[in-house]
Amino acid sequence: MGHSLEAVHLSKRYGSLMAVDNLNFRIDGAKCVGFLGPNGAGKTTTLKIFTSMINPSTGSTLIDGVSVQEDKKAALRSCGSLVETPEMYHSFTPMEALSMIAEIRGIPKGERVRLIRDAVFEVKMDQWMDRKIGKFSKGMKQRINIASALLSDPEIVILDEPTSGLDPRGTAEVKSLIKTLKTEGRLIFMSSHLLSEVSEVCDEVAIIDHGKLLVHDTIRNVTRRFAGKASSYLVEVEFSKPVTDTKAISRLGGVHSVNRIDQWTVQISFSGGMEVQEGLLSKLASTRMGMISFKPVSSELEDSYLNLVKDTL
Amino acid sequence: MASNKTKKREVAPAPQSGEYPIPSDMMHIWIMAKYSIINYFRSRRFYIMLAIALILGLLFSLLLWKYGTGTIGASSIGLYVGWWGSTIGTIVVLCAILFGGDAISREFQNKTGYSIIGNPIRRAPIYLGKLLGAFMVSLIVIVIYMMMVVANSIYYFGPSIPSQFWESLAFTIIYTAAALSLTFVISSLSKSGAVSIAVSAVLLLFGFGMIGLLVQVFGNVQPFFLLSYSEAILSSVFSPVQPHDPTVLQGLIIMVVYFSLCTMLGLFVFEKKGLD
Repeated sequence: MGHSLEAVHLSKRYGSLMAVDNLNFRIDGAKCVGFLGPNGAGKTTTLKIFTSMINPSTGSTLIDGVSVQEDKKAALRSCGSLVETPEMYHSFTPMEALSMIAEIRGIPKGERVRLIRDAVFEVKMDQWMDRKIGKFSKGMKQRINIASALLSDPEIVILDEPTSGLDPRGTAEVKSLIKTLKTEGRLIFMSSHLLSEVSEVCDEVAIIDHGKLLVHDTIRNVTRRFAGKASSYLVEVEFSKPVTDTKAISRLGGVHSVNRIDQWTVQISFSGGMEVQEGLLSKLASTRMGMISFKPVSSELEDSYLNLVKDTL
Repeated sequence: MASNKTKKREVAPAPQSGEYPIPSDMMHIWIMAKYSIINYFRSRRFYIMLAIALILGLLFSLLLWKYGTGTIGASSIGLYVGWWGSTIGTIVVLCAILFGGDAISREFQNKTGYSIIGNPIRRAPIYLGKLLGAFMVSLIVIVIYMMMVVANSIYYFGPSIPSQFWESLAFTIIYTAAALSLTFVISSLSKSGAVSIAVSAVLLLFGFGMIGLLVQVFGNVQPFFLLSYSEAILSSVFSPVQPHDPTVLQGLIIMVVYFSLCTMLGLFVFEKKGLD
């Protein structure tokens, strides 16, 4: 059965500030959708409305077609969430805190301990099962929060900056976990500031600014439509030999400037989009200067994002 | 870590969340109460409250042992009036402040509410469960205090316990519910635990008393609108001369009205309040 998340004419006003402004979108199927936008764009507010943490001023949010505002229990039944960085009772151990969530979610007593142990094991916190949460670092608490969100194997997962507070290893593990959840047929809706993270794990993006949805499409379509609008691109090229003649690179078609980073590395600014980039790559490869890497300094998604968000300012 | 999950699921498939029947609202109230009680038992304030009750009980016991029953009352009724009747109202008020003063505001301030509210549970059971938890923890303190009073009464005056004591105990339980519902509503109106505890303390320890005094002195009317006014029935029930102001019925009505209105108002505020 396909699962869905839907915002219908969703608005949230705080005094004169319109945090979310007539937001309409629908996500369904087994996929991961990245929710992007600058600070204060309305991402967390939207996710909080989806999880009933705040009420909308107008409009509604639907999970599997059930209104969160009208029947929260039914709507959130198959949805696990992690919004902002919640705290659990500091006097509780992970086992106790997750037992409370398990009981609220109706997980039968016979399965509770096994599911909690599995969830805690997945976030690599099994060594800390019987320690007080109050003693945990921010990253450790975030791992327990992720375990809580995934405790009942939800079909829909809402995550608000899930890697926030995690160390590089933790970040990599969470990304891997999200990818696995996606392959298991779940619908994941996650906000993030990290475009590389979204590019890596998501299939679609929804970009929001000033409470309004700017675009919602597959990453491929978004980058096709919006990345090409940039006037110039930057690539970093590394050579196996010291670069002595940067003027030779400057003469290549479309190149604006060449800046030497160190003896072996240069940054090349060029215009003309992907076709020029392709030509530049093949020409550099044929110069016998010993090119060993060629990587865009900014990603296409980042370019798209910057174009879209800049346009609304 | 992802691959472990897949492996485990192959061995023992776990049902999807949608397959678990979400507990009823009544069950959710009980779950919230249970975990609130555990949380109270781990808190410093529970032991502070318990210590206050024990110290007060020991002081009275010491007083009776050192100076005899004449210091409080020559009969068991006198002991209950002089000890239980004169102190139980304060014990209840302190329980209400310590266990209810920041019960809701703390959920917002410490962000603990974020980990509960995002689950398939309505807000009313969260509120009522926490209220029930605070009530039961208060009752534990009251029962321990009561046992000290009763033990002294039995020691000095024999096993007979006056029937008025059981009435007073019943009124104390109702008064506890009313006082907690008041501190809970104050707590739900604030996002700062310190502010809601301070407001609760000022109101219950001094505010109501001062307002009542002013109304009686300058308005020459009984302050029927104050919860503290009803507290008098906890001790006046022992008096052979009835009726008192307020009468038992009036006192009970004040308590029940406070409990009902404050609970409804607290639920309304909590329902509307956002975790911004």
